[in-house]
Amino acid sequence: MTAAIILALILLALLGVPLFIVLAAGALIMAMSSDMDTAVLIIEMVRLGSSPTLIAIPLFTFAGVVLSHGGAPRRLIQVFTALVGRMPGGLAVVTLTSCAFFTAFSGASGVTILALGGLLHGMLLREAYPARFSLGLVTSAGSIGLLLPPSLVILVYGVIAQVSIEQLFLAGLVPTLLLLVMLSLYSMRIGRATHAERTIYTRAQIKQALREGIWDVFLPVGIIGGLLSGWLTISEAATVTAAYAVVLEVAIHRTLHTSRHLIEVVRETTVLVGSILIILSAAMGLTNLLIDAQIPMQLLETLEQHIHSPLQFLLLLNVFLLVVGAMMDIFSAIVVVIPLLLPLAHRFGVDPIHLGILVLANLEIGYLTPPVGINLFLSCQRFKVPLLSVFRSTLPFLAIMLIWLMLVTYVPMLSLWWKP
Amino acid sequence: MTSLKRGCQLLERLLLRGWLIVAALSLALMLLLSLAQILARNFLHLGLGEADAVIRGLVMWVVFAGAAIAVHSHRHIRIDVLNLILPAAWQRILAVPLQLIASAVCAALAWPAARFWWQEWQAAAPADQIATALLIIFPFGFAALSLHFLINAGAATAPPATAVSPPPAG
Repeated sequence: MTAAIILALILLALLGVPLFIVLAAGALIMAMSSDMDTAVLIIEMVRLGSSPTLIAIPLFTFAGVVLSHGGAPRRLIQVFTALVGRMPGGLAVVTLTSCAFFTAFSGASGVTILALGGLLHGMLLREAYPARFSLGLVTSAGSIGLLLPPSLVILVYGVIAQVSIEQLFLAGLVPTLLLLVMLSLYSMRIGRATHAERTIYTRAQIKQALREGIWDVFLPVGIIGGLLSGWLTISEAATVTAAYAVVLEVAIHRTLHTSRHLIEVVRETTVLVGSILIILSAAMGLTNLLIDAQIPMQLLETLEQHIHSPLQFLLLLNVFLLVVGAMMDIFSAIVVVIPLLLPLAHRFGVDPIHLGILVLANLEIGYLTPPVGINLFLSCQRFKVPLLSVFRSTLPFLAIMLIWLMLVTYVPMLSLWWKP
Repeated sequence: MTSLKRGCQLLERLLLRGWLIVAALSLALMLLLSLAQILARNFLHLGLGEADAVIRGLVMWVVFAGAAIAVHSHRHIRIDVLNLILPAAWQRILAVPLQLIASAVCAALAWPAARFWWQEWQAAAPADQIATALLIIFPFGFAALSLHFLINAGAATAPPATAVSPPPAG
Protein backbone atom coordinates (compact mmCIF):
# COMPACT_ATOMS: atom_id res chain seq x y z
CA MET A 1 0.00 0.00 0.00
CA THR A 2 2.73 2.45 1.05
CA ALA A 3 4.79 1.53 -2.01
CA ALA A 4 1.76 2.13 -4.26
CA ILE A 5 1.22 5.59 -2.75
CA ILE A 6 4.91 6.49 -3.15
CA LEU A 7 4.86 5.30 -6.76
CA ALA A 8 1.70 7.30 -7.46
CA LEU A 9 3.32 10.44 -6.03
CA ILE A 10 6.48 9.91 -8.08
CA LEU A 11 4.32 9.44 -11.18
CA LEU A 12 2.47 12.68 -10.44
CA ALA A 13 5.81 14.48 -10.08
CA LEU A 14 7.11 13.05 -13.35
CA LEU A 15 3.90 14.08 -15.10
CA GLY A 16 4.54 17.70 -14.17
CA VAL A 17 2.39 18.28 -11.09
CA PRO A 18 4.07 21.15 -9.17
CA LEU A 19 6.52 19.73 -6.66
CA PHE A 20 4.91 21.49 -3.69
CA ILE A 21 1.64 19.70 -4.45
CA VAL A 22 3.41 16.31 -4.55
CA LEU A 23 5.18 17.01 -1.25
CA ALA A 24 2.01 18.34 0.40
CA ALA A 25 0.01 15.33 -0.83
CA GLY A 26 2.66 12.99 0.60
CA ALA A 27 2.58 14.81 3.93
CA LEU A 28 -1.25 14.78 4.05
CA ILE A 29 -1.38 11.05 3.31
CA MET A 30 1.31 10.29 5.90
CA ALA A 31 -0.38 12.38 8.58
CA MET A 32 -3.80 10.83 7.94
CA SER A 33 -2.47 7.28 7.84
CA SER A 34 -0.84 7.80 11.24
CA ASP A 35 -4.08 9.31 12.65
CA MET A 36 -2.46 12.70 13.17
CA ASP A 37 -4.25 16.02 12.89
CA THR A 38 -3.31 17.52 9.50
CA ALA A 39 -2.97 20.87 11.26
CA VAL A 40 0.57 19.71 12.22
CA LEU A 41 1.56 20.42 8.62
CA ILE A 42 0.35 24.01 8.95
CA ILE A 43 2.19 24.35 12.27
CA GLU A 44 5.42 23.32 10.51
CA MET A 45 4.76 25.87 7.76
CA VAL A 46 4.22 28.61 10.34
CA ARG A 47 7.43 27.50 12.05
CA LEU A 48 9.26 28.01 8.75
CA GLY A 49 7.62 31.42 8.47
CA SER A 50 8.98 32.40 11.88
CA SER A 51 12.59 31.65 10.91
CA PRO A 52 14.51 34.93 11.46
CA THR A 53 16.64 34.46 8.33
CA LEU A 54 13.69 33.82 6.03
CA ILE A 55 13.22 37.51 5.26
CA ALA A 56 16.63 37.52 3.52
CA ILE A 57 15.21 35.40 0.68
CA PRO A 58 12.55 37.82 -0.64
CA LEU A 59 14.74 40.88 -0.11
CA PHE A 60 17.83 39.46 -1.85
CA THR A 61 15.59 38.16 -4.65
CA PHE A 62 14.01 41.60 -4.99
CA ALA A 63 17.46 43.22 -5.19
CA GLY A 64 18.54 40.73 -7.86
CA VAL A 65 15.46 41.30 -9.98
CA VAL A 66 15.76 45.10 -9.66
CA LEU A 67 19.40 44.95 -10.76
CA SER A 68 18.83 42.58 -13.65
CA HIS A 69 15.85 44.57 -14.96
CA GLY A 70 17.81 47.77 -14.48
CA GLY A 71 20.72 46.83 -16.75
CA ALA A 72 23.31 45.49 -14.29
CA PRO A 73 24.26 42.64 -16.69
CA ARG A 74 25.33 45.10 -19.39
CA ARG A 75 27.22 47.28 -16.91
CA LEU A 76 29.01 44.25 -15.42
CA ILE A 77 30.16 43.11 -18.87
CA GLN A 78 31.51 46.60 -19.57
CA VAL A 79 33.41 46.82 -16.28
CA PHE A 80 35.01 43.39 -16.62
CA THR A 81 35.82 43.99 -20.30
CA ALA A 82 37.51 47.25 -19.35
CA LEU A 83 39.53 45.47 -16.68
CA VAL A 84 40.56 42.19 -18.34
CA GLY A 85 39.49 42.46 -21.99
CA ARG A 86 43.07 43.12 -23.15
CA MET A 87 44.40 39.80 -21.77
CA PRO A 88 44.64 36.76 -24.10
CA GLY A 89 41.27 35.07 -23.77
CA GLY A 90 40.10 38.24 -22.04
CA LEU A 91 36.53 38.14 -23.30
CA ALA A 92 36.18 34.55 -22.17
CA VAL A 93 37.32 35.58 -18.68
CA VAL A 94 34.84 38.48 -18.84
CA THR A 95 32.12 35.93 -19.65
CA LEU A 96 33.02 33.80 -16.64
CA THR A 97 33.24 36.65 -14.13
CA SER A 98 30.14 38.55 -15.31
CA CYS A 99 28.09 35.35 -15.33
CA ALA A 100 29.32 34.41 -11.83
CA PHE A 101 28.36 37.84 -10.46
CA PHE A 102 25.02 37.82 -12.20
CA THR A 103 24.09 34.26 -11.18
CA ALA A 104 24.75 35.13 -7.53
CA PHE A 105 22.06 37.81 -7.80
CA SER A 106 19.60 36.27 -10.18
CA GLY A 107 18.42 33.35 -8.08
CA ALA A 108 20.04 30.46 -9.93
CA SER A 109 17.03 30.06 -12.17
CA GLY A 110 19.08 29.62 -15.32
CA VAL A 111 18.24 33.18 -16.26
CA THR A 112 21.95 34.05 -16.67
CA ILE A 113 22.07 32.31 -20.03
CA LEU A 114 19.04 34.24 -21.23
CA ALA A 115 20.14 37.62 -19.82
CA LEU A 116 23.88 37.52 -20.53
CA GLY A 117 24.46 34.48 -22.71
CA GLY A 118 23.01 35.88 -25.92
CA LEU A 119 24.99 39.08 -25.63
CA LEU A 120 28.29 37.38 -24.72
CA HIS A 121 27.93 34.54 -27.24
CA GLY A 122 27.67 37.05 -30.09
CA MET A 123 30.66 39.00 -28.77
CA LEU A 124 32.77 35.81 -28.46
CA LEU A 125 32.01 34.79 -32.05
CA ARG A 126 32.78 38.29 -33.33
CA GLU A 127 36.20 38.11 -31.64
CA ALA A 128 36.90 34.83 -33.48
CA TYR A 129 36.62 32.40 -30.56
CA PRO A 130 35.75 28.88 -31.85
CA ALA A 131 31.98 28.34 -32.09
CA ARG A 132 31.97 25.17 -30.00
CA PHE A 133 34.11 26.75 -27.26
CA SER A 134 31.87 29.86 -27.17
CA LEU A 135 28.71 27.78 -26.84
CA GLY A 136 30.25 25.60 -24.12
CA LEU A 137 31.54 28.64 -22.26
CA VAL A 138 28.24 30.56 -22.05
CA THR A 139 26.35 27.36 -21.18
CA SER A 140 28.77 26.37 -18.41
CA ALA A 141 29.21 29.90 -17.06
CA GLY A 142 25.47 30.09 -16.42
CA SER A 143 25.74 28.46 -13.01
CA ILE A 144 29.17 29.20 -11.59
CA GLY A 145 28.11 31.96 -9.18
CA LEU A 146 25.85 29.66 -7.17
CA LEU A 147 28.15 29.69 -4.15
CA LEU A 148 28.69 33.47 -4.09
CA PRO A 149 26.72 35.81 -1.79
CA PRO A 150 23.79 36.42 -1.90
CA SER A 151 22.93 33.25 -3.80
CA LEU A 152 19.39 32.03 -3.18
CA VAL A 153 20.38 28.36 -3.08
CA ILE A 154 22.74 29.07 -0.18
CA LEU A 155 19.95 30.86 1.67
CA VAL A 156 17.59 27.94 1.09
CA TYR A 157 20.21 25.40 2.22
CA GLY A 158 20.89 27.49 5.35
CA VAL A 159 17.20 27.62 6.26
CA ILE A 160 16.70 23.87 5.75
CA ALA A 161 19.92 22.69 7.40
CA GLN A 162 19.59 25.36 10.12
CA VAL A 163 23.21 26.43 9.80
CA SER A 164 24.66 29.93 9.72
CA ILE A 165 24.11 31.57 6.33
CA GLU A 166 26.97 33.99 7.02
CA GLN A 167 29.33 31.01 7.43
CA LEU A 168 27.97 29.41 4.25
CA PHE A 169 28.68 32.59 2.32
CA LEU A 170 32.26 32.63 3.64
CA ALA A 171 32.64 28.94 2.84
CA GLY A 172 31.58 29.45 -0.78
CA LEU A 173 34.16 32.16 -1.58
CA VAL A 174 37.35 30.12 -2.06
CA PRO A 175 35.71 27.27 -4.02
CA THR A 176 34.12 29.80 -6.39
CA LEU A 177 37.41 31.68 -6.85
CA LEU A 178 39.17 28.38 -7.49
CA LEU A 179 36.62 27.39 -10.13
CA LEU A 180 36.89 30.80 -11.78
CA VAL A 181 40.69 30.52 -11.90
CA MET A 182 40.59 26.97 -13.32
CA LEU A 183 38.06 27.85 -16.03
CA SER A 184 39.83 31.16 -16.79
CA LEU A 185 43.19 29.42 -17.32
CA TYR A 186 41.57 26.99 -19.76
CA SER A 187 39.80 29.85 -21.55
CA MET A 188 42.98 31.90 -21.81
CA ARG A 189 44.79 28.92 -23.29
CA ILE A 190 42.04 28.55 -25.92
CA GLY A 191 42.08 32.31 -26.57
CA ARG A 192 45.83 32.26 -27.12
CA ALA A 193 45.80 29.08 -29.23
CA THR A 194 43.06 30.31 -31.54
CA HIS A 195 44.42 33.87 -31.78
CA ALA A 196 41.11 35.30 -30.68
CA GLU A 197 40.99 39.09 -30.83
CA ARG A 198 41.41 41.12 -27.67
CA THR A 199 39.06 43.89 -26.58
CA ILE A 200 41.11 46.96 -25.80
CA TYR A 201 39.21 49.90 -24.33
CA THR A 202 40.51 53.45 -24.60
CA ARG A 203 41.19 55.34 -21.37
CA ALA A 204 37.91 57.25 -21.80
CA GLN A 205 35.97 54.02 -22.34
CA ILE A 206 37.52 52.45 -19.23
CA LYS A 207 36.57 55.51 -17.19
CA GLN A 208 33.03 55.43 -18.54
CA ALA A 209 32.62 51.67 -17.88
CA LEU A 210 33.94 52.00 -14.34
CA ARG A 211 31.78 55.04 -13.61
CA GLU A 212 28.66 53.16 -14.69
CA GLY A 213 29.39 49.72 -13.27
CA ILE A 214 31.49 50.23 -10.18
CA TRP A 215 28.39 50.44 -7.94
CA ASP A 216 27.27 47.00 -9.11
CA VAL A 217 30.69 45.50 -8.36
CA PHE A 218 30.73 47.12 -4.91
CA LEU A 219 27.51 45.42 -3.92
CA PRO A 220 28.74 41.83 -3.35
CA VAL A 221 31.98 43.25 -1.95
CA GLY A 222 29.93 45.33 0.50
CA ILE A 223 27.79 42.33 1.49
CA ILE A 224 30.84 40.14 2.12
CA GLY A 225 32.59 42.95 4.01
CA GLY A 226 29.52 43.70 6.12
CA LEU A 227 29.05 40.04 7.04
CA LEU A 228 32.75 39.34 7.66
CA SER A 229 33.15 42.36 9.91
CA GLY A 230 30.01 41.50 11.87
CA TRP A 231 28.42 44.88 11.09
CA LEU A 232 25.45 43.29 9.40
CA THR A 233 23.34 40.23 10.11
CA ILE A 234 22.09 38.33 7.10
CA SER A 235 18.61 39.90 7.19
CA GLU A 236 20.12 43.39 7.60
CA ALA A 237 22.43 42.72 4.66
CA ALA A 238 19.39 41.73 2.58
CA THR A 239 17.53 44.89 3.58
CA VAL A 240 20.47 47.16 2.80
CA THR A 241 21.07 45.38 -0.53
CA ALA A 242 17.42 45.76 -1.59
CA ALA A 243 17.41 49.47 -0.67
CA TYR A 244 20.76 49.98 -2.44
CA ALA A 245 19.50 48.29 -5.61
CA VAL A 246 16.37 50.48 -5.66
CA VAL A 247 18.37 53.69 -5.16
CA LEU A 248 20.89 52.58 -7.83
CA GLU A 249 18.34 51.78 -10.52
CA VAL A 250 15.63 54.33 -9.74
CA ALA A 251 17.63 57.38 -8.64
CA ILE A 252 21.19 56.99 -9.99
CA HIS A 253 20.92 55.12 -13.32
CA ARG A 254 17.18 55.92 -13.73
CA THR A 255 16.61 52.66 -15.57
CA LEU A 256 13.43 51.72 -13.68
CA HIS A 257 11.15 54.69 -13.79
CA THR A 258 7.81 53.62 -15.24
CA SER A 259 5.03 51.77 -13.44
CA ARG A 260 5.32 49.01 -16.07
CA HIS A 261 8.94 48.37 -14.99
CA LEU A 262 7.98 48.28 -11.33
CA ILE A 263 5.04 45.91 -11.90
CA GLU A 264 7.35 43.57 -13.81
CA VAL A 265 9.91 43.68 -10.98
CA VAL A 266 7.24 42.89 -8.36
CA ARG A 267 5.79 40.08 -10.47
CA GLU A 268 9.18 38.47 -11.12
CA THR A 269 10.28 38.73 -7.46
CA THR A 270 7.00 37.37 -6.19
CA VAL A 271 6.94 34.38 -8.54
CA LEU A 272 10.57 33.47 -7.74
CA VAL A 273 10.00 33.75 -3.98
CA GLY A 274 6.60 32.06 -4.08
CA SER A 275 7.62 29.12 -6.21
CA ILE A 276 10.65 28.35 -4.00
CA LEU A 277 9.28 29.01 -0.52
CA ILE A 278 5.98 27.21 -1.09
CA ILE A 279 8.02 24.05 -1.77
CA LEU A 280 9.97 24.68 1.39
CA SER A 281 6.71 25.09 3.34
CA ALA A 282 5.26 21.87 1.97
CA ALA A 283 8.53 20.00 2.56
CA MET A 284 8.75 21.09 6.22
CA GLY A 285 5.69 19.03 7.14
CA LEU A 286 6.78 15.99 5.17
CA THR A 287 10.34 16.11 6.50
CA ASN A 288 9.17 16.10 10.11
CA LEU A 289 6.81 13.23 9.48
CA LEU A 290 9.69 11.30 7.86
CA ILE A 291 11.89 12.00 10.88
CA ASP A 292 9.07 10.90 13.23
CA ALA A 293 8.85 7.69 11.20
CA GLN A 294 12.64 7.21 11.69
CA ILE A 295 13.24 7.06 7.92
CA PRO A 296 16.64 8.85 7.99
CA MET A 297 17.72 6.58 10.84
CA GLN A 298 16.73 3.47 8.89
CA LEU A 299 18.63 4.81 5.89
CA LEU A 300 21.65 5.37 8.12
CA GLU A 301 21.50 1.82 9.50
CA THR A 302 21.36 0.40 5.96
CA LEU A 303 24.26 2.55 4.81
CA GLU A 304 26.40 1.72 7.83
CA GLN A 305 26.41 -1.92 6.77
CA HIS A 306 28.14 -1.06 3.50
CA ILE A 307 30.09 2.11 4.20
CA HIS A 308 32.83 2.26 6.76
CA SER A 309 34.72 5.49 6.21
CA PRO A 310 33.98 9.17 5.56
CA LEU A 311 35.89 8.86 2.27
CA GLN A 312 33.57 6.12 1.02
CA PHE A 313 30.60 8.18 2.16
CA LEU A 314 31.79 11.28 0.28
CA LEU A 315 32.44 9.29 -2.88
CA LEU A 316 28.97 7.75 -2.76
CA LEU A 317 27.52 11.19 -1.97
CA ASN A 318 29.17 12.66 -5.07
CA VAL A 319 27.76 9.96 -7.34
CA PHE A 320 24.31 10.22 -5.76
CA LEU A 321 24.18 14.02 -5.96
CA LEU A 322 25.40 14.13 -9.55
CA VAL A 323 22.51 11.81 -10.48
CA VAL A 324 20.06 13.91 -8.42
CA GLY A 325 21.40 17.09 -10.00
CA ALA A 326 20.89 15.64 -13.47
CA MET A 327 17.29 14.67 -12.67
CA MET A 328 15.96 17.46 -10.47
CA ASP A 329 15.98 21.21 -10.34
CA ILE A 330 18.37 22.55 -7.68
CA PHE A 331 15.75 23.92 -5.26
CA SER A 332 13.69 20.71 -5.31
CA ALA A 333 16.86 18.69 -4.81
CA ILE A 334 17.91 20.73 -1.77
CA VAL A 335 14.48 20.52 -0.17
CA VAL A 336 14.04 16.79 -0.74
CA VAL A 337 17.57 15.51 -0.21
CA ILE A 338 19.12 17.63 2.55
CA PRO A 339 16.92 16.46 5.46
CA LEU A 340 17.86 12.87 4.58
CA LEU A 341 21.56 13.65 4.16
CA LEU A 342 22.13 15.69 7.33
CA PRO A 343 22.05 12.78 9.82
CA LEU A 344 24.22 10.67 7.50
CA ALA A 345 26.79 13.46 7.17
CA HIS A 346 26.77 13.95 10.93
CA ARG A 347 27.37 10.23 11.47
CA PHE A 348 30.38 10.23 9.10
CA GLY A 349 31.82 13.42 10.59
CA VAL A 350 31.19 15.76 7.63
CA ASP A 351 30.83 19.39 8.74
CA PRO A 352 27.33 20.70 7.81
CA ILE A 353 28.85 23.83 6.22
CA HIS A 354 31.21 21.71 4.12
CA LEU A 355 28.28 19.42 3.30
CA GLY A 356 26.34 22.47 2.05
CA ILE A 357 29.15 23.58 -0.24
CA LEU A 358 29.75 20.15 -1.69
CA VAL A 359 26.04 19.46 -2.17
CA LEU A 360 25.62 22.75 -4.01
CA ALA A 361 28.81 22.16 -6.02
CA ASN A 362 27.42 18.80 -7.16
CA LEU A 363 24.05 20.32 -8.02
CA GLU A 364 25.80 23.18 -9.84
CA ILE A 365 27.34 20.58 -12.15
CA GLY A 366 23.87 19.02 -12.48
CA TYR A 367 22.89 22.14 -14.47
CA LEU A 368 25.09 20.80 -17.27
CA THR A 369 24.25 17.10 -17.23
CA PRO A 370 21.47 15.41 -19.24
CA PRO A 371 18.62 14.56 -19.12
CA VAL A 372 17.36 17.54 -17.11
CA GLY A 373 20.36 19.92 -16.96
CA ILE A 374 18.46 23.17 -17.32
CA ASN A 375 21.41 25.11 -18.80
CA LEU A 376 21.58 22.64 -21.70
CA PHE A 377 17.92 23.24 -22.55
CA LEU A 378 18.17 27.00 -22.16
CA SER A 379 21.20 27.09 -24.46
CA CYS A 380 19.38 24.85 -26.92
CA GLN A 381 16.47 27.29 -27.05
CA ARG A 382 18.52 30.47 -26.94
CA PHE A 383 21.09 29.55 -29.60
CA LYS A 384 18.91 27.21 -31.69
CA VAL A 385 21.44 24.37 -31.50
CA PRO A 386 20.66 20.63 -31.04
CA LEU A 387 20.89 19.35 -27.45
CA LEU A 388 23.70 16.95 -28.29
CA SER A 389 25.84 19.75 -29.76
CA VAL A 390 25.32 21.86 -26.65
CA PHE A 391 26.25 18.93 -24.42
CA ARG A 392 29.35 18.15 -26.49
CA SER A 393 30.44 21.79 -26.30
CA THR A 394 30.30 21.73 -22.49
CA LEU A 395 32.41 18.55 -22.09
CA PRO A 396 35.82 20.26 -21.50
CA PHE A 397 34.20 22.60 -18.97
CA LEU A 398 32.40 19.66 -17.34
CA ALA A 399 35.73 17.83 -17.00
CA ILE A 400 37.33 20.85 -15.29
CA MET A 401 34.32 21.21 -13.01
CA LEU A 402 34.55 17.53 -12.01
CA ILE A 403 38.21 17.98 -11.04
CA TRP A 404 37.13 21.04 -9.05
CA LEU A 405 34.37 19.01 -7.41
CA MET A 406 36.89 16.43 -6.24
CA LEU A 407 39.03 19.20 -4.73
CA VAL A 408 36.04 20.78 -2.97
CA THR A 409 34.90 17.39 -1.68
CA TYR A 410 38.18 15.97 -0.43
CA VAL A 411 39.89 19.18 0.71
CA PRO A 412 37.44 20.54 3.31
CA MET A 413 39.89 23.33 4.13
CA LEU A 414 38.81 25.07 0.88
CA SER A 415 35.36 25.58 2.40
CA LEU A 416 36.34 25.78 6.07
CA TRP A 417 39.38 28.10 5.82
CA TRP A 418 37.75 30.68 8.07
CA LYS A 419 37.34 28.27 10.99
CA PRO A 420 39.84 28.75 13.82
CA MET B 1 -13.80 30.67 -27.31
CA THR B 2 -16.31 29.03 -24.94
CA SER B 3 -18.04 31.05 -22.25
CA LEU B 4 -16.43 28.78 -19.63
CA LYS B 5 -12.97 29.70 -20.87
CA ARG B 6 -13.90 33.40 -21.04
CA GLY B 7 -15.29 33.29 -17.49
CA CYS B 8 -12.15 31.53 -16.23
CA GLN B 9 -9.92 34.11 -17.87
CA LEU B 10 -11.86 37.06 -16.45
CA LEU B 11 -11.85 35.63 -12.93
CA GLU B 12 -8.17 34.83 -13.19
CA ARG B 13 -7.31 38.32 -14.42
CA LEU B 14 -9.09 39.85 -11.43
CA LEU B 15 -7.42 37.49 -8.97
CA LEU B 16 -3.98 38.09 -10.48
CA ARG B 17 -4.39 41.84 -10.26
CA GLY B 18 -5.34 41.43 -6.59
CA TRP B 19 -2.30 39.24 -5.89
CA LEU B 20 0.03 41.71 -7.58
CA ILE B 21 -1.29 44.51 -5.37
CA VAL B 22 -0.90 42.30 -2.28
CA ALA B 23 2.66 41.40 -3.30
CA ALA B 24 3.68 45.00 -4.04
CA LEU B 25 2.28 46.29 -0.74
CA SER B 26 3.83 43.43 1.26
CA LEU B 27 7.25 43.86 -0.34
CA ALA B 28 7.20 47.64 0.15
CA LEU B 29 6.08 47.36 3.77
CA MET B 30 8.63 44.63 4.46
CA LEU B 31 11.46 46.75 3.09
CA LEU B 32 10.37 49.92 4.89
CA LEU B 33 9.87 48.18 8.23
CA SER B 34 13.23 46.41 7.97
CA LEU B 35 15.00 49.68 7.16
CA ALA B 36 13.20 51.45 10.01
CA GLN B 37 14.30 48.67 12.35
CA ILE B 38 17.96 48.96 11.33
CA LEU B 39 17.89 52.74 11.76
CA ALA B 40 16.05 52.59 15.09
CA ARG B 41 18.35 49.92 16.49
CA ASN B 42 21.63 51.48 15.39
CA PHE B 43 20.94 55.18 15.84
CA LEU B 44 18.20 55.40 18.47
CA HIS B 45 18.99 52.14 20.30
CA LEU B 46 15.30 51.25 20.13
CA GLY B 47 13.41 48.13 19.11
CA LEU B 48 10.23 48.38 17.05
CA GLY B 49 7.91 46.16 19.08
CA GLU B 50 6.05 43.75 16.84
CA ALA B 51 7.93 44.73 13.66
CA ASP B 52 9.88 41.45 13.43
CA ALA B 53 6.77 39.30 13.66
CA VAL B 54 4.93 41.53 11.17
CA ILE B 55 7.80 41.33 8.66
CA ARG B 56 7.88 37.53 8.93
CA GLY B 57 4.10 37.46 8.42
CA LEU B 58 4.47 39.62 5.31
CA VAL B 59 6.99 37.15 3.86
CA MET B 60 4.27 34.51 3.82
CA TRP B 61 1.90 36.93 2.04
CA VAL B 62 4.51 37.37 -0.69
CA VAL B 63 4.97 33.58 -0.83
CA PHE B 64 1.27 32.87 -1.40
CA ALA B 65 0.91 35.74 -3.88
CA GLY B 66 3.88 34.36 -5.81
CA ALA B 67 2.56 30.81 -5.63
CA ALA B 68 -0.80 31.97 -7.03
CA ILE B 69 0.76 33.94 -9.88
CA ALA B 70 3.05 30.97 -10.61
CA VAL B 71 0.00 28.69 -11.00
CA HIS B 72 -1.35 31.04 -13.64
CA SER B 73 1.95 31.37 -15.51
CA HIS B 74 2.86 27.66 -15.10
CA ARG B 75 6.10 28.62 -13.40
CA HIS B 76 5.95 26.31 -10.41
CA ILE B 77 9.02 24.14 -9.98
CA ARG B 78 8.27 20.69 -11.36
CA ILE B 79 10.12 17.58 -12.49
CA ASP B 80 8.16 16.98 -15.67
CA VAL B 81 10.47 14.42 -17.23
CA LEU B 82 7.58 12.45 -18.73
CA ASN B 83 6.27 15.52 -20.52
CA LEU B 84 9.44 15.49 -22.60
CA ILE B 85 8.42 12.17 -24.11
CA LEU B 86 4.60 12.17 -23.86
CA PRO B 87 2.78 13.14 -27.07
CA ALA B 88 0.93 16.48 -26.94
CA ALA B 89 -2.46 14.74 -27.14
CA TRP B 90 -1.72 12.78 -23.97
CA GLN B 91 -0.57 15.90 -22.20
CA ARG B 92 -3.88 17.60 -23.10
CA ILE B 93 -5.88 14.62 -21.80
CA LEU B 94 -3.95 14.56 -18.52
CA ALA B 95 -4.05 18.34 -17.95
CA VAL B 96 -7.53 18.46 -16.37
CA PRO B 97 -7.17 15.57 -13.86
CA LEU B 98 -3.71 16.81 -12.80
CA GLN B 99 -5.02 20.33 -12.18
CA LEU B 100 -7.97 18.89 -10.24
CA ILE B 101 -5.63 16.82 -8.05
CA ALA B 102 -3.58 19.93 -7.30
CA SER B 103 -6.76 21.83 -6.47
CA ALA B 104 -7.93 19.07 -4.11
CA VAL B 105 -4.59 18.97 -2.26
CA CYS B 106 -4.71 22.75 -1.69
CA ALA B 107 -8.33 22.52 -0.51
CA ALA B 108 -7.34 19.72 1.87
CA LEU B 109 -4.70 22.04 3.37
CA ALA B 110 -7.02 25.07 3.58
CA TRP B 111 -9.31 23.43 6.15
CA PRO B 112 -6.70 22.53 8.81
CA ALA B 113 -5.10 25.93 8.15
CA ALA B 114 -8.42 27.63 8.95
CA ARG B 115 -8.85 25.61 12.16
CA PHE B 116 -5.28 26.36 13.19
CA TRP B 117 -5.66 30.07 12.54
CA TRP B 118 -8.92 30.31 14.48
CA GLN B 119 -7.34 28.64 17.51
CA GLU B 120 -4.31 30.94 17.34
CA TRP B 121 -6.51 34.01 16.99
CA GLN B 122 -8.58 33.09 20.02
CA ALA B 123 -5.46 32.49 22.11
CA ALA B 124 -3.48 35.53 20.89
CA ALA B 125 -2.35 38.07 23.47
CA PRO B 126 -3.27 41.68 22.58
CA ALA B 127 0.38 42.44 21.72
CA ASP B 128 0.48 39.56 19.19
CA GLN B 129 -2.79 40.30 17.43
CA ILE B 130 -1.35 41.94 14.30
CA ALA B 131 1.13 39.12 13.73
CA THR B 132 -1.60 36.51 14.35
CA ALA B 133 -4.00 38.30 12.02
CA LEU B 134 -1.40 38.09 9.25
CA LEU B 135 -1.34 34.29 9.60
CA ILE B 136 -4.79 34.23 8.00
CA ILE B 137 -2.89 34.05 4.72
CA PHE B 138 -2.43 30.30 5.32
CA PRO B 139 -6.13 29.28 5.02
CA PHE B 140 -6.86 32.09 2.59
CA GLY B 141 -3.81 31.33 0.46
CA PHE B 142 -4.44 27.60 0.19
CA ALA B 143 -8.13 28.21 -0.64
CA ALA B 144 -7.08 30.69 -3.32
CA LEU B 145 -4.48 28.27 -4.75
CA SER B 146 -7.18 25.62 -4.92
CA LEU B 147 -9.33 28.06 -6.88
CA HIS B 148 -6.46 28.92 -9.25
CA PHE B 149 -5.86 25.24 -10.05
CA LEU B 150 -9.61 24.82 -10.56
CA ILE B 151 -9.60 27.74 -13.01
CA ASN B 152 -6.67 26.13 -14.85
CA ALA B 153 -8.66 22.89 -15.06
CA GLY B 154 -11.65 24.84 -16.42
CA ALA B 155 -9.48 26.54 -19.00
CA ALA B 156 -7.95 23.19 -19.99
CA THR B 157 -11.36 21.59 -20.64
CA ALA B 158 -12.17 24.13 -23.36
CA PRO B 159 -11.10 23.08 -26.86
CA PRO B 160 -7.92 24.81 -28.06
CA ALA B 161 -8.51 27.91 -30.15
CA THR B 162 -8.19 27.24 -33.87
CA ALA B 163 -7.30 30.77 -34.86
CA VAL B 164 -5.99 33.82 -33.07
CA SER B 165 -8.62 36.55 -33.09
CA PRO B 166 -7.37 40.03 -33.95
CA PRO B 167 -7.08 42.54 -31.11
CA PRO B 168 -10.01 44.97 -30.77
CA ALA B 169 -9.55 48.19 -32.68
CA GLY B 170 -8.70 51.38 -30.83
